[in-house]
Amino acid sequence: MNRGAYYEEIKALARTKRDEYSVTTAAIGLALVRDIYRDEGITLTKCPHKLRKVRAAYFIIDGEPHVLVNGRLPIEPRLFAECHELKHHYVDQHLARDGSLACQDVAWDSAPVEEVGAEVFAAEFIFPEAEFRDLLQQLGLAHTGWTISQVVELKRQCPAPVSYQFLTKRLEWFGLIQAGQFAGVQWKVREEQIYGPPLYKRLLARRKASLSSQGLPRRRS
Amino acid sequence: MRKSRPESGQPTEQELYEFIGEKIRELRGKSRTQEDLARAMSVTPNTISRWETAVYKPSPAELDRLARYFGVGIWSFFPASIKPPTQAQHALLSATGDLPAEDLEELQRYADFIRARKSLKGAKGGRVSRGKT
Repeated sequence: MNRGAYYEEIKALARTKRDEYSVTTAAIGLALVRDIYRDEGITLTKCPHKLRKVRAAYFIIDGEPHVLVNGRLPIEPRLFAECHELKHHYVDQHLARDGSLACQDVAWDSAPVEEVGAEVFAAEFIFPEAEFRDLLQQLGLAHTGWTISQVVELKRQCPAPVSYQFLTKRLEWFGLIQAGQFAGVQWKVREEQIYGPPLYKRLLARRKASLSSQGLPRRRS
Repeated sequence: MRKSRPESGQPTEQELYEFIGEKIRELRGKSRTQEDLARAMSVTPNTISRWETAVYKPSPAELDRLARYFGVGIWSFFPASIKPPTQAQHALLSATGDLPAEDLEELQRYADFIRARKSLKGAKGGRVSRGKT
């Protein structure tokens, strides 16, 4: 089977699993994925120690599946990483058991098909391509020539908890933007420039202002 | 009189914790007092003393913290008879780049921790079994 056919099969698996667990794009989140892990008998552990490059890892330890997820990841990448490991559970358990793909062997530059497949699975599981296309149609954004503010707008309208990286990868995949077109963009900064600071930052600023007007010291966080 | 360290065979729960206690004392050595270790572990010196005499039983998480503090693997606290044969843990990974050695070490520590926890759990129900690989 060639790579393309393999990835299509993986996407179909992701949709099947979504149906099996009645997953909807608007409802998907860490709690829902945690329930799926419980149903699948996978022990999910948030790593309390520093992991520099690892987002998550799938192990078979004494015959039982375990996932260790980097506890320092923000919500969106963490959700993606947990869905990525779900694919390993469904498809690649034998690799974790027999050690044919050991951690020492993995290099990102030469990502094995199983790893790319897991990325494809996670993307389809969280936000299916068909729904993504529908959203682009609804927003009138199914075109080339994207600007930064349009990507920010897409992120704000997106019902799925996905990162800017996810969205730009998808747009690249659909051929709507060029590879690396938005590399190096500080998305959160741009978002704040367009829409102002988020609520939590405004509340924090208001609190700081209130404390300093009363002459009280700011509490260190 | 302290019971002898189990050299072979499967230790009982009490024997296992006595071994762990001796190991903590050995790793602490003469250069560190129980107070020093207690401070580093955020427990009282009394707790350290009771771990060393197997009156208290350190949890798997506490053993993991001790192992990190002493810079050893968690299996250092277990008798050779129940240590699994040394073998690199296989895992499927999602990473953002080539893996640094400390990440690989952390993954191995996690797998060791899970196995050690299982061994301690098994010790409560009777004899300790050797961890599988």
